[in-house]
Amino acid sequence: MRDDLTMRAVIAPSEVREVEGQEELEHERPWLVIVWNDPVNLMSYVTWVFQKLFNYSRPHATKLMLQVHHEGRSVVSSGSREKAELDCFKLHGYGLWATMSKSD
Amino acid sequence: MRTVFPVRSTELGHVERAGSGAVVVLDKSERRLLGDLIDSMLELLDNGGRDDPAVERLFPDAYGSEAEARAWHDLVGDELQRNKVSSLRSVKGALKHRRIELDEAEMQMWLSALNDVRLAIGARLEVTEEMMGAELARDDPRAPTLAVMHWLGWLQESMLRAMPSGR
Repeated sequence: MRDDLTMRAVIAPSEVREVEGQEELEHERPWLVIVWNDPVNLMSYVTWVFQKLFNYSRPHATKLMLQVHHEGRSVVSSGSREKAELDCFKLHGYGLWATMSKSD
Repeated sequence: MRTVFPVRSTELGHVERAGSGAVVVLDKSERRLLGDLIDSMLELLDNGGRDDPAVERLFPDAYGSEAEARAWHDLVGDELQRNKVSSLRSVKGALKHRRIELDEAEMQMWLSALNDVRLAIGARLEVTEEMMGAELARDDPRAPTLAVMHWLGWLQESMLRAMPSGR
């Protein structure tokens, strides 16, 4: 998976924009990984996934899970596009519904 | 999301703590059920198209737009599928035995495989939060399938409780 992402990063639009000298801010704005609520996943499972994947403490993982549960969604990580894609891939592997978007 | 769910298995099945892993004990009927569910899942993963709600849920889009969604599936689809199939097969293989010892890595595989089965059933049944919390009428055609979902959830919950809960 890492190899694929490296390949993808070489041709990512943000790289091209940087080379063109435009929108450096665009490149610096982090990507957000969002997990969405769903009716099937157990709260205990979601909390465990957050601990496992991001090495979050149990209290922090629980807080994020409760945000997903009560507010419908939560930002669980942020970073480069490549990191966000890797996080989404892993979250999808665990069956969480995750999307990524550029922060505002 | 589901809270700790209400149905306690009346079967012999249970999960015991064992260091950083666990021991899963399932009686014959539970193992047969799980085996059948896995067979259905493997069939789905092999043949299911994106128009199938179960496939859609197992392989969600990471981006908003149609074009980006396609690119996402091209990027991750095959590997995600391989990993899911691998986990399901691993669980299936272990079902020969009534008493199944799992280390931490195997627990992770079981948890995600069980989760995939629940997601697929849930998607096909079009479950909502209300449905998951409801007591369906006995003659409701969805009742047996929902009961299976709850049993799988019980197994997941039991496995999660058996593991160290972390810092």
